[in-house]
Amino acid sequence: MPLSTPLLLTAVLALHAASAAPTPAGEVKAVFLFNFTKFVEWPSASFPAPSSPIIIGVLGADPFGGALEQTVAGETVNGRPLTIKRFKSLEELAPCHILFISASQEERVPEILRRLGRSETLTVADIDGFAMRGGAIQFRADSGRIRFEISREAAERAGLRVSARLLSLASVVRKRIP
Amino acid sequence: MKATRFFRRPGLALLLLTALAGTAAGAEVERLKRLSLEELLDVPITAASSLPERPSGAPWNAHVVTEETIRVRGYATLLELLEDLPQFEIQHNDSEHRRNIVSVRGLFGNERLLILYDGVRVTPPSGDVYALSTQFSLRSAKRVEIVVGPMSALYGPDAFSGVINIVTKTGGEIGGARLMGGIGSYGASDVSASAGAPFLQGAEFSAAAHRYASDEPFLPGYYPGDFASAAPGTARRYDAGTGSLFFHTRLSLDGFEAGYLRMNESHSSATGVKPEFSPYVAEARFQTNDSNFYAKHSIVSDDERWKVDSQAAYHFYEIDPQSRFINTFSLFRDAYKYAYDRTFEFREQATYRFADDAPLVLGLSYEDHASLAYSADLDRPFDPSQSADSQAFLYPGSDVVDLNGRPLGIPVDFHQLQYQNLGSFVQLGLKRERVSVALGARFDHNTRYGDAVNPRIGAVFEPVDKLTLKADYGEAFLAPSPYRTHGHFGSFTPTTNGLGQVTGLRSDFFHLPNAGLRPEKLKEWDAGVSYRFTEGFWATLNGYYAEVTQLIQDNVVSGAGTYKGWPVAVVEGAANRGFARTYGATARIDALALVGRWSFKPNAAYTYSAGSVDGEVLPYSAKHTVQTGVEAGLGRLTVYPRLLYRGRTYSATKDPQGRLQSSAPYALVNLYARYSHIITKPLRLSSHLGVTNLFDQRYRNAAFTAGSVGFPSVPQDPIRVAGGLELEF
Repeated sequence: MPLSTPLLLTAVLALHAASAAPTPAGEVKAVFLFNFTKFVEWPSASFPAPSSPIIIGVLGADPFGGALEQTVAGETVNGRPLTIKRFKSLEELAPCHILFISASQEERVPEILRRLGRSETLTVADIDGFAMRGGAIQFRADSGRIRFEISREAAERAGLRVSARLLSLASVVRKRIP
Repeated sequence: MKATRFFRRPGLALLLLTALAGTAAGAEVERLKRLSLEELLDVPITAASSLPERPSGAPWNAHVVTEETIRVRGYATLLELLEDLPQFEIQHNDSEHRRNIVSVRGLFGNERLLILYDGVRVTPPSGDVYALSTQFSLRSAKRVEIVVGPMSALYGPDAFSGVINIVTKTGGEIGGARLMGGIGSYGASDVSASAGAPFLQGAEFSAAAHRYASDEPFLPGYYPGDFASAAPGTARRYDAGTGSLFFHTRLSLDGFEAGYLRMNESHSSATGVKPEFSPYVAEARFQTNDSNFYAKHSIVSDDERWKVDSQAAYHFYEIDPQSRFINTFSLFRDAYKYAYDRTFEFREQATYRFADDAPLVLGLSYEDHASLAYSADLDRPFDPSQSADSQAFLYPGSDVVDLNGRPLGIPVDFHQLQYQNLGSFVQLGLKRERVSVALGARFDHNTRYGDAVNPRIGAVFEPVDKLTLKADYGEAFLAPSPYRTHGHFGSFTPTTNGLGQVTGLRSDFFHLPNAGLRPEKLKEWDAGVSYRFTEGFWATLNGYYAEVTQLIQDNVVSGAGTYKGWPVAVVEGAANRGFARTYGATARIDALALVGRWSFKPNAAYTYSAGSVDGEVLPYSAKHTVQTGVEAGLGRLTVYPRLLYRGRTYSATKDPQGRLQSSAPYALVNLYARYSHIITKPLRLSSHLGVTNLFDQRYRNAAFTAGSVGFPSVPQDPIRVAGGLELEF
């Protein structure tokens, strides 16, 4: 097989890719995470000081690339700046207000949720069955769009108040929290 | 290798193309931020947004091993991971060519297992021989997906015993660099590096490399009885070092990805053979080189109903020209080997979703192979830059002149094969409430061995919450590789008259080609049940029954014969002679418990495996196996002790009394400990320590090399300790 054939195919594929311009899901999810900070209310005790930042954590392999930093750069919500923290593993986890649990951590979801306990953390993931298993918000893809499910019980159990507006846009999951 | 140079310039061209394709869309995030929640919910997303389809949800018996598990258990390579999987069994240090041999559900043979990285196959597309060793790195793996059982209905030839897909991290997921360095007993060094980052808008680049080398233990010191004899002139010499190299780089932009993946593996060509028949000297090496270059692209319709995946790949496999045997068959002279396969592969797959859980998959694949089959013994290294016929190789021992002054030299036959495989496949998934069904079939037309049709059907039923039932049936075929159809070896000896003058040639032994080999065929039934008692405790039971017809046996002796017109005392070759039946079951429990600050994740599996090959007991598969371990974590410390028990394992070889040889039962304890993030600034530093064969036992695996040439059972490594550091930044 002459080498030119795979090269030609490769070139065609590359040019084809260049012409397609849908939005990467990571960017949409990053903006959703940012929006969640506006529609979820944390207890004031979860902030050491009035100007303490809202901390968004990412546990496991980061699916956002640089989109999360781009999203929160220079932003404030209720006078609080936003900070991104990344945790490679559960052992490294530190307190945060939103914790995005990567699909790479799927196997450890029960352990992560038990470890978080009643800490005031909004847990978010795009792992199948996450909201049913005790997580607060689960992203899913549907007809080429991002959708999300909310477990109101999980959020309330963490001491968080989710605005009615956010709830109205989500599929609300009811699951008895053990 | 040469293939690397071959692709250096195309790689640059790709880099340039992709960079050009990366349009400046940095304002996209700002645009999204200005949208209302409702508008955000209406933003179309790319294919990458599709939640990954996980084999755990499929009706097949499947495993998904996540990055976290790989890290906590310390799996540096696929070989270590497979050792922990139920229904997989490894015979270590067993074979001159394959080094370690894997059995899956009682069927042994590395060539029956298809291994992919990111959906691109890395095992030889021709089905040729390869070592299952340290070259299959997991250092950049995000997860490993393993489907056990025949998957020819989707993947075609070779997907016979199972398919393993190692999914690696993208540049953005790596998001920095990770360096690991370690040393261990017996001169082992283990170094890896991976780095990646997003660049431009939506583009990602990553590169990963992993090098392993070891002198390996001095087995004559641990098993003196097995190494009491030596080949002429090789007493006290012992070199069984191993080495491997892995390199993978990938560049992605939205739905497009291009990558290059290379692997080299080297070990002693005396592996598994008694030292008096094949000395363990540094020159006796067997090495394979693999290079794979690929490009993939996905297109998704706006409503995400349609998805079209295209993949083009070029695979180059070769037995390194410096590979050589020095053994009793070559009369202890250098016997070099060579083989290659160049395959261009194109795969097109269209998926249409009638509903979210009802995908219809249609696909076409085309492979064009150019192979040089496994050569006869060569007295000097093959030169790949020249044609085979121009190199004037003669069969060993034939380069003599008879008493009439006539040269008897016999030119070596080289078998160059050109063949194509065209495959088409269809698969349909349906899900209704608590039942999902997947059915599919694949048709292959191969210009070497004809047509094959392989169906597969499976179902998952969840009658109540927490209870899952699975059942499936599949068929598969294993195309005979050029190694098996055309591989041949042996040597000649001059015959003389009473005056010592050469009168002709004869041979004691020749393994001859058999171009008429047909594919092996497999039918397998599989059923399983799993129940999740609580979020922290679940159990699974899985059973299987399989039949293989036209089983290829490599060493079928046909008695005395002739080759090239000269008498041969023993002629053997590969033949479709066998019928195999295997059946077995695995019971497994997994749990999760938190005790104070400790977390524990114990697992235990018992596997029963039985069957027969042509009426003989099933070889290379212990009837009873127990695999158990517990992941324990305390803060940054994780510890993973594990126990492996294997019952008696039979070989396919017999002793002089005609009894099947076997290895005695053994229990092995391994330990891996990791302390994460000793420091976190300015970079993260972690450390690890691994101990295999913690109690330093002397144990053996079942022998592979036939007759009295190989060990009756193969001595295994004593305790090994390895430790290292990891830096992330």
